[in-house]
Amino acid sequence: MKKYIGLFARMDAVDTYIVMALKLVLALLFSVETLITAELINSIIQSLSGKSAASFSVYAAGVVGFWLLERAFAYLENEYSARLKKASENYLERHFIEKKSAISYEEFEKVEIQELINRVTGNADEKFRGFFENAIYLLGIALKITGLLCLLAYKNMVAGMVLLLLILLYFYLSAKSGKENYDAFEESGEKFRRADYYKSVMNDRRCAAERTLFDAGDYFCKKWFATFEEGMQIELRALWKLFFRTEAGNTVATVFVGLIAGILVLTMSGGYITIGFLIAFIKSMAGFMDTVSRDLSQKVSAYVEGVRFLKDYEAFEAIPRDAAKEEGKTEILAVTDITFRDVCFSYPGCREKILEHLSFTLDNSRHYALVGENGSGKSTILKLLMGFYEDYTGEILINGINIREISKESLRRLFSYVPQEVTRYEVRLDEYLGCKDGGRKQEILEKLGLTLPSDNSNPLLGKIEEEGIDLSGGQWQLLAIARAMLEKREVYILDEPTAAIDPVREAQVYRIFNTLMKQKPALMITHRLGAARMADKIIVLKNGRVWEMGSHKQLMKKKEVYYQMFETQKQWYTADGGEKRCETI
Amino acid sequence: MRNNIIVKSFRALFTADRVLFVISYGLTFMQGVTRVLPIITIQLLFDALADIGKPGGQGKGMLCLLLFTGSRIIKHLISLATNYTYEKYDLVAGRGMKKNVNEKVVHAPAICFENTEFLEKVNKADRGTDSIRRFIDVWMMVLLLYVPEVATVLVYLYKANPWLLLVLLPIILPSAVVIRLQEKEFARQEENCANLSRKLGIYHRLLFDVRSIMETQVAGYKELLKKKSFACIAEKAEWEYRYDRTGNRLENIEKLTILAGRILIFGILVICTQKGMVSIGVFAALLSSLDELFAIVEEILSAATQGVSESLEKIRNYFGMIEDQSHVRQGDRELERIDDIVFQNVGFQYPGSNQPAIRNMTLKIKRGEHIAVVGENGSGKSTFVKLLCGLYPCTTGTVQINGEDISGYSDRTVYDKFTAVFQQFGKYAMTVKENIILGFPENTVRYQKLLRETGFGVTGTKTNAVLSREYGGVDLSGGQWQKIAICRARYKDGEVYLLDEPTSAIDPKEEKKLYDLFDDMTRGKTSIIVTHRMSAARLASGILVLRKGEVCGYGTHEELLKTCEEYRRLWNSQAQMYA
Repeated sequence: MKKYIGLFARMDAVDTYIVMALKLVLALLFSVETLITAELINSIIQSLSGKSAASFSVYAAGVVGFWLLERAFAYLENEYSARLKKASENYLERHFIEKKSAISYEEFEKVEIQELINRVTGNADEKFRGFFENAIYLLGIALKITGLLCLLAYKNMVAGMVLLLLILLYFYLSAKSGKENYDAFEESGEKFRRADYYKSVMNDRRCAAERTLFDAGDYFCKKWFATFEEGMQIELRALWKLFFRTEAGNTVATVFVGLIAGILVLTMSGGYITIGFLIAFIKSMAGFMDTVSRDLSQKVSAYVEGVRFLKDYEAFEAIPRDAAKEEGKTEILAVTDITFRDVCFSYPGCREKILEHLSFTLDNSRHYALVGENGSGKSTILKLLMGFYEDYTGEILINGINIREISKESLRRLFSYVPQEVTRYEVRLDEYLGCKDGGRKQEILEKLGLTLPSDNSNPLLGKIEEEGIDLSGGQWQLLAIARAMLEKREVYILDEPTAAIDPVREAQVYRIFNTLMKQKPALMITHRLGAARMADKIIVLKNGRVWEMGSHKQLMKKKEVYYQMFETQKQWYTADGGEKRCETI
Repeated sequence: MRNNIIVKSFRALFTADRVLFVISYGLTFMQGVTRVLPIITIQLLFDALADIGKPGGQGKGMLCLLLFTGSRIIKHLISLATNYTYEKYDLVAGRGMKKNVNEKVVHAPAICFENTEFLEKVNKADRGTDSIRRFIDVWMMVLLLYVPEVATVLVYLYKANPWLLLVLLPIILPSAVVIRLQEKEFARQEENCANLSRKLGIYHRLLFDVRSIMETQVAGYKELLKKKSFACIAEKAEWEYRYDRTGNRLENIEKLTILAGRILIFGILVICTQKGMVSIGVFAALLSSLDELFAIVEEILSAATQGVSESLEKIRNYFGMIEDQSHVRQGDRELERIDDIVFQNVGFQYPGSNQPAIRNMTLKIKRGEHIAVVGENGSGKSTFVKLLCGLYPCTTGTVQINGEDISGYSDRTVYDKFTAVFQQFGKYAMTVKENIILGFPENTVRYQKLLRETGFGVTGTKTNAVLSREYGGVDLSGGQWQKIAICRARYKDGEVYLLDEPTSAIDPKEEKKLYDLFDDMTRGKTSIIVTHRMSAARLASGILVLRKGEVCGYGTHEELLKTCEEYRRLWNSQAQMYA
């Protein structure tokens, strides 16, 4: 707990302490108000029976003063809370982005880590502040009741003990029910979220055609209803328990207060307890119980939720990160050759080896095509080469240096990467291309035949703001290629464009790839052998290892795996390929 | 018009569950009554305590204490019954109304989903279900729960001194005004921050989506995106801060106004009590009740001034949606089998679009034919497929089945004859089995057989895992999902198979196997396959070439190579690579 107050203090020390102080002072003043009210009533009674009349106005003024002070404090508390909120939002959201972006890739791909990250960083600053505010609220309540307790104990020890007993009992029950509450509502909450999912499916426009044809709408409607019903039943059970406990607690508290009041009444003759005190005390106690019973159970649940969140947060902070291991690594600026030596790799949690004793060498005077079926390990090789996975056996060397000793930053800066699925970065054109040279930029865009629907020479890409321009999938692809051409990097890495583009566009992209390959050392990934054959050397990947390597001519002469793959693909396009379908009924 | 909505809302809530409705609000009224008891008994108690010095005072005091304690206990018990029943009723009513909306949505024609207006209406109708309950509920609460309590306190105030009531009235008006202003501020803040949140979400996705991380890190966008995120965060925090402070100031004014009234009432009460016009008991009881009173007044004012117009709009949308009969197709003829499908000058335009997606198409597809449809992206292939099976109504011209206009048949009888793998198919977060079978009768052996035939590969326990990471399950590759979609189509089965690029995510080796499977499964049936694999198109009995929504060629591969320029272009772009 202290750690988290510490965290807030680091964010904005002054405001944190002021907010805490204001709340706590207010809580203490609660007891003062009771005393003033007591004396007011006493002085009125005295004045009614003919004694000194003046003092009651002093006490009346005191009560009014208290109310004004209360309002002032409440206002100030809100002001400082707003400041604290602003500071914490800035600090925490940045903090989370920094932390997340430093998490190593291997961790990122794990499902549990993804889920943990989502749990923690969704509205994290709200949760943090909520926890903080709840904690302070509960503390405030504790102080208020302690104040009353002290007042009472001072007047009558026995009554004081009874109150203490009540307080302990009440808090114990609340804590217990708070936790159970949270669990039960978590369960029902999950059901309702699931029901919401079915609802979103019914509303989804993308698959509406399929849904209609398959009459699946009704199916999802029924699923929604059933799941909602389940959630409802769980929630109702939980609600019953909650309400029962709340009102049982209230009843017990009412009985106890009656008891205390009874003790006070019976011991009044001692003169220690004035009528005013009795009335004021009962009034304060009743009012306090009314406000608390409304809020307490919910606040305790929220507190429990906060504690769980903090546990998740600790786990989040403990996720292994990149930067830590970067000191003392070498920088690298040029590439003469890339070697994979006896590399074995399987994805975390998989027994199957994707790469098995993989060995090959690329040198910077040639361009290469890497071919193989889906799942043969082509993209895995890229991930290892660019330093996204470290948990492999064997060695990967650049210019003879093991890449484990090269800093990830400089490693990645060696490559110009055109990925399979091009990401739509909604930033300005110049920011996207990373190029300040306007002339060169224009030249490349023209060469690629890419015209953007904007007069601005540096438009905003994507509809992230009103002024942004909308681009088609094909245009984004060309942009990614333009970026690769403009980047001053050593090697092109060209990953096959995703299959869902039409043949004309696919052919165009491969044509451009072939031009690029002639400019710089390049590695192209593809399963279209027709596109691969332009490369100097083709690496055929099968079962996680290099099966064949050579030029198209050489491999065709060998009449082995490559030859077979090529002929199969070619067959689709030759005059005598396949039986025609022309049955009629 | 407005009254009509209120009556309809009331009726909707009542019919959702009549018994619960009556019990729930009946108990609410009882709760309202039991809240009055403690006010009266505390006054009696305080009066008794004030006279405790007098003979028999202690006895009377204890009696009143007992009464007071007892009345509070009754209040707690009734609270329990009321709160529970109310929550139950709320859930039941909500469920009923949401179900109504759902049923309307799932029976809406597919074309409606291409219309953004429709989608917005659905959204508002959904929210309308909550609005109805909140709207009616607030007024019921005010009448049943609060009125007895407020009336009691007002009676006490009046009996203490009639002037007190006059003081109360003027405070209410400014409070109402301020509360309304607060709401407007809040709405404004929401709008501004929503935009920034959306931007932040986009940057977040670019930075952290698993699929883009590699590109982000290699191309070096990390620092840029971080900088942009930080700027967004700072701006958002600044806006929120400003609105927080404005809200605080407004709240302060409202509460000071109420405080002023409270102080005035207090002052008058003190003087009256001191002069003996009001008993100590009444004085003390009023002091404790006034806080409650003001809290209730605030709540009532808030409810009265709260976005009434916005709520009414959502409620109107709800009724608009569930009463809408216009979408149901009129035809009701039965269709025995499909002998042919004829397009007669068919044209189609998407709602809200200014360009037709299909222009003047005339063709005939006979039973047993296997047609391939080729063309560039945007040529209208997918739209064509949806027009074929009557999912979309054509804008001009007619689509006929067996010589009769398709709109003369009932929906289901037409849909039953078709099955399809569309480009956009559902990837549902359910098990593999549920994904394939959907709402059709279950036949485990059959679905497993179909799955095996596609070479799906993930077997045993994994098929019971719920798909999609969000539900802690297995996630599948694009190719695997496509195989599921193929199984789904086969499981439904039909006379006519519509396959829209069914192998786009699958590599060539697997693809060949699947095309063999397509051959098998469409034997004896009619099939239309949209494909980019020119090589596969070539095996069809007829190839339809589309360009910009029009038919620019129809025939066999050899015929088209000779006669259709577009076809030649498409063919060569792929064949060239292997020449």
